[in-house]
Amino acid sequence: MSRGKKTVERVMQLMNQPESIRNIGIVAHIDHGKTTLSDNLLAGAGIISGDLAGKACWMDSDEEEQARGITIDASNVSMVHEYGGKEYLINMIDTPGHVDFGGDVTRAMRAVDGAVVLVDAVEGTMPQTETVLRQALKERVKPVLFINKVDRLINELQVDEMEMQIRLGKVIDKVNKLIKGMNEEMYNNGWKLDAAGGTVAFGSALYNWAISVPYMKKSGISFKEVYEHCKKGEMKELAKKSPLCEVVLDMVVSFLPNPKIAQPRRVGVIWHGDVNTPEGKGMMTCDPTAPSCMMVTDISFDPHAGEVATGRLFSGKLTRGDEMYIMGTAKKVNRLQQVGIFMGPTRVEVPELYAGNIAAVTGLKDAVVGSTVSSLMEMTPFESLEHYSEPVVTVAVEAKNMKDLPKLVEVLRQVAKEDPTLRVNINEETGEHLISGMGELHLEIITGRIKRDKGVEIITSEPIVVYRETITQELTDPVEGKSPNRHNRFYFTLHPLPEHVVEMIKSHEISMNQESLERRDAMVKAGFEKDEAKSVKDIYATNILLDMTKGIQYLNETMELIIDGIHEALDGGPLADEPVQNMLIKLVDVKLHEDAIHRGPAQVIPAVRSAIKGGMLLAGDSLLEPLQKLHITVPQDNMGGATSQIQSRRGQVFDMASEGDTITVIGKAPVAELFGFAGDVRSATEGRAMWNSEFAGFEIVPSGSAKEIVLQIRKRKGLKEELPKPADYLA
Amino acid sequence: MNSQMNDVKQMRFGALLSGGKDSLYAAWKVMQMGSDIACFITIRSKNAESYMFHTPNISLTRLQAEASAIPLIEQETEGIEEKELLDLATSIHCASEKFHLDGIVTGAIQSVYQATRIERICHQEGLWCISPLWQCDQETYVRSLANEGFEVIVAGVFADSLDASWLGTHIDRTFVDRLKKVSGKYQISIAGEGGEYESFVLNAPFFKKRIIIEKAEILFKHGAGNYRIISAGLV
Ligand SMILES: Nc1nc2c(ncn2[C@@H]2O[C@H](COP(=O)(O)OP(=O)(O)OP(=O)(O)O)[C@@H](O)[C@H]2O)c(=O)[nH]1
Ligand SMILES: [Mg+2]
Repeated sequence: MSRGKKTVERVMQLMNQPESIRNIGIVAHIDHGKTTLSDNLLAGAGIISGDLAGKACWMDSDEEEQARGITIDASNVSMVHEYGGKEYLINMIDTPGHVDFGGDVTRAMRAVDGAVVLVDAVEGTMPQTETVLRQALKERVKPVLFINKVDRLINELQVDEMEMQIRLGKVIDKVNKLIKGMNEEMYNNGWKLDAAGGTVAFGSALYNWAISVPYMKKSGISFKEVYEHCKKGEMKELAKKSPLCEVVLDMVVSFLPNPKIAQPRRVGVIWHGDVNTPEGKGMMTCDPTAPSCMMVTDISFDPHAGEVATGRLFSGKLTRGDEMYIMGTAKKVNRLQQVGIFMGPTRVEVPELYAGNIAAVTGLKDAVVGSTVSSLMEMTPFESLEHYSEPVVTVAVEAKNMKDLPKLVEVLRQVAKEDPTLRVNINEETGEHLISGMGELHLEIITGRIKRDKGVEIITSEPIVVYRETITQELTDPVEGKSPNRHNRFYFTLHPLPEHVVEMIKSHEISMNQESLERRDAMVKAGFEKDEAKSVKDIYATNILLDMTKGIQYLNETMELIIDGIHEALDGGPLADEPVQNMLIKLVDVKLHEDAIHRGPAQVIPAVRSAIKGGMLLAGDSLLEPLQKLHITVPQDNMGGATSQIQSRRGQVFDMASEGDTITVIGKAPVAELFGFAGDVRSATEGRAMWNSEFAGFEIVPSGSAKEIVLQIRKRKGLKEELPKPADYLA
Repeated sequence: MNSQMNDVKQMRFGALLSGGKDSLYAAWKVMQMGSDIACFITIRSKNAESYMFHTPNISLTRLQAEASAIPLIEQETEGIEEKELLDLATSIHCASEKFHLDGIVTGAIQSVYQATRIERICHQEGLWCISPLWQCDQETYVRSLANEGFEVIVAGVFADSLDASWLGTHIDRTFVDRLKKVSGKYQISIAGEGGEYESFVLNAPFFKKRIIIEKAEILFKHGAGNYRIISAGLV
């Protein structure tokens, strides 16, 4: 532990020198060895003992993680590495690989500037490799490659030196192809991976050795030697000659950018404010004397200190007692209590923390994951953290004991704060709350933690699928919504939103955070007419509201209520009360009572809500269900079992690729049909299938099953058990 | 629209009567000041969506007038915006001639639309126009109804969060609390000034008889509902 303490001192010295800092994330497909690598890097840096490392137990400190052998929460750690006679501070985040926890990767990518992408040498690039790369590039996080588990190539697959080189080359080519496809500009500007150039290393995280071209030059060890040692099983020897930690961290220091270099590139992408403001300049130059701007990327609960907010400090500095503001909340002062950094699972307090670091602080009681925190009372917030996947499964939870009712509500609020990929729906009236997440495992972990960590006994329902609604036709003949007092009327037309516009909303190319001129230009680029492009009043999920009216008295002061009404309709469509997506709403005419009291919320909200709902039914409102892409690898003999498992679940097989005596079946199936898939595929393939799944978007439920599913949902929700009609909403 | 009650003493007023709590309570306030309500004036609109005069049980004001032994002037209107004001002017003129009125009482609390239009008519006729409830504290007012002996029911609901279960219920001592509970973000005005609900008065301190509902039906559709009194009598 004394070494750990010494490290703290060195860390504190380096913290104030952005040129000496590297903020990195370790990302990969599940099980490719991220945690093993992270543990061994830590051990190499002297923070944990070498014996413990490699057992994936320091970074995966949670008992659930250890029991399941997977990472669930991203963990932060800082360490010091010496290179070329200089010391560097490495702030590192180990991320989970399981798709259900992909939200952690999304968030980590906001905090870091560089990523070590791991690929299992035997499995090669996998679906999640592609996903994490895409997330990194989207945040302008620079990748380097580590090809892991090379020992398996030699020991298990018995490849010779020549074939080993070919295989490694193939992995590099594949990853390069992915990078090029995702961002050709960055690819051409130096982000292309190049073994000779030093941006690729390979080795064995488990056996603690690695090799790269620059390190070969530095140490004099040759590829042949590495191969020979490995072949003979002399792993310890190899780990001495070419230690993992040296090779990987040398690569990190040499080829991943420091915050001063990275921030000017990243700020324009993740923040849409004016770069000439003090905070804008501060972030562009990573200036510790500028106003403090931090983006919270993680919130965890510490039994002693309470809520710990972790995030990237892009400018300014943090000191205990500082007064901070959380954008988008009631401008109440949040006073920093502890300011610290992470070391493995422990947090160490520091007197001050400077721009360019990953901070862990307490006292930000109004912050949630994704919050923009600043010493300024007001600043343009960072782009929100948009996760590529959406909640597809829901469970209902209830407190087992009456006395826990209020506590459960509190715990659920906390859980929602900590994990933004969850959607929590609290219903204090019935006491039955809904938690929606990325998948069965995600919810199993969350509900498990409510019992284990928060000590609340709960009853959990079977998982239920999350559906969506959208319109399939245009409604150009305006639909009229009347207020209950009949003195206010609203007229809307509805239009399916083209796919490319949806994509632009998802990638924040069109967003309400933009300056209106910037947004107008983006809308024009998306194909909207000028007068439409400048009339965006709201963007909610992937729905847009345009105000096409002109010169209507009192409309401005009523717009907020109109938007409220629209949100209510979009939160639960008319068909099955499921969230609405991909709809363009145009407000084309309005009639308002001249007395303000006659056009209050109780009048405007229902009028707008029922117009939208009724209108949607006229515009072919349809139910969408989430699908999952499946990727099953089985021995040839068991292929039939795997394909039939997909086909029997309303699924579809669209590719089969054989390699040696194994075959990979790729297909997709509705989430609704996939409950229990793990067990079934195991028995159908005699336990020999390796499979993983990823979110494959929402698709319209085939008309054959649609009505039945809609009625089922309505029944479960206590809605009238018949298909709704426009007349139910429209007078 | 002033409520300088001292001026009001010993004068003769016509009270606009919609059947709801505000008009009858306003009349009662004027009586308490020592003035006379010489007649009630009811404008019945054929247009269900009239900005001025529509209330669910307007035809039953006859019973209320009878119960209080005060004559009633009734006037029908097509209910076309602004034109209905002419009909109102006509009936105020007639009532004023017939009953030698000094002024008109309205139950307006907050609606500038109603109050200013009535005031303009009164001005033209050389009549006082008083609205004893103008800008009063709505909560105190609604709570005092039951205490002062008014028996009032909810006769119509026209607001999100007020459902059919409210129809026909009494505006009793718990009413305000119940209303506040569901109001939430909808900011329902406690006196229903935004047209959130309409009321009907069955009994008032100055009634000689009270109204008994013999038969009624509840109609609720598209977020709005009426408690339609089909037949009623006096006891
Ligand atoms: N043979 C071999 N096995 C390895 C190597 N690196 C990791 N492993 C093993 O691979 C398994 C997964 O390792 P982890 O480090 O937990 O993988 P991860 O990427 O962190 O997994 P998730 O966090 O769940 O995505 C463990 O059993 C490790 O022992 C390696 O270089 N060689
Ligand atoms: Mg891991």
